[in-house]
Amino acid sequence: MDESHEHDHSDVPDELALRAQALQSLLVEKGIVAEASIDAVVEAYEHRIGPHLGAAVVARAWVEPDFKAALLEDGAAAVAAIVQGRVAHRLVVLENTDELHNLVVCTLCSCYPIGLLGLPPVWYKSAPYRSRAVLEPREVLAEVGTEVDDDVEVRVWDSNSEVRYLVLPQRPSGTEGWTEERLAELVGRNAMIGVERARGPEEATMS
Amino acid sequence: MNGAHDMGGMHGFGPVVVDEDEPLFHADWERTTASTLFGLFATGRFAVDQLRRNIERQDPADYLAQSYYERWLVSLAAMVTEAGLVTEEELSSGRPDTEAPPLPDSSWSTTPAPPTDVPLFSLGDRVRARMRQPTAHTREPRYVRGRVGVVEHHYGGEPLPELAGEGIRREEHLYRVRFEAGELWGAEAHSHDSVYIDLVESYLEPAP
Repeated sequence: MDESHEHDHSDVPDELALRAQALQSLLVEKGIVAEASIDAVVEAYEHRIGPHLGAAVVARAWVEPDFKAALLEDGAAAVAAIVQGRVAHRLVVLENTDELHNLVVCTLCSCYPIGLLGLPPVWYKSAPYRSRAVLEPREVLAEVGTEVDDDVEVRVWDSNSEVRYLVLPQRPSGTEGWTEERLAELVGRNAMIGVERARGPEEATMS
Repeated sequence: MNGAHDMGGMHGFGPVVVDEDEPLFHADWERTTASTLFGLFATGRFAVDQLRRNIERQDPADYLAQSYYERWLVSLAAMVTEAGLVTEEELSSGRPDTEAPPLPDSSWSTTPAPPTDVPLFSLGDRVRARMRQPTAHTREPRYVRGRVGVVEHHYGGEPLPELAGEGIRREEHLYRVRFEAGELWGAEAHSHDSVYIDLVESYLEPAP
């Protein structure tokens, strides 16, 4: 064997690519995984499922008090009315207020409501966030530009079970009379995890 | 198990860096791995805890060095070889040379059934997360073990992760427990802060 081989780190991605392809081909050729199901879910995350779904839920809650009450009571049931497909068996929606700031983390892996937010971002899966969010949430929030006053309660939700958590951010002031569609544009994925707030009207995209 | 994945409360990993414009996948093999995973789980015959278990049981140094999708790939390979569906030789050659046995008989696509026994704990009960060092897959992280919290909600049934990691399904009562930050981290923690976490019944014992 070529002695230089094990020092050549540029080989590593190729090894992964070969193994990833071999694993998939074997499972399909052996009839274990249906070829039709291979790409279906990934394509859904590429084209259909993403934070715009969660944003639509948040915007509806901002304009319809009855929907908001239902959402806080039973998130999975309320969301089923506006999002197609299974989101989660159990979904708990956490309302941020002037007195309370909620923040979601999965210290053990990367769980969060992918049916409403899409696949999780790298920072959510990263060691810095997973290690620190439970220990020093205020420092983490400040680091990403979200200052929380000392007298505001901070609740960190460690998403370690199959229950999924979605943060309902506060509706920005200056958005009175806005349509749901316009409001939804203010709601980013990070606000629904609780690390940021909804964008203000001055930050709305000019479309 | 007390693996490198159990990160809550650790120091030294540096700042949280939020990238607003990252791609869904950073390489084709990541997409291939994700599609394989979703395809395998669409069979309904594997528990997510089996995926987690095979990620967590790696050498901690390997775990920390791997990217997210690399962990999936390692774990998927371990799962299918453990189930006898694919051999390590086949993974190396990329060519099938054995017949796959039937898929495991278990069903993980249905929603958890409520356990038939009466829940041990009620809302408002003070509970202690059991101090123990399980070598099996667990969802009781180290930072809550031995700490006292209050039961805030009873969800119903949840498969016990210790067994689900082995592909065996048995539901237990699942509770939401609130821990004051000071109980978890000491007197320097902010007095208004708390951590909420979901714990199955066998992770808990009554606290005075």
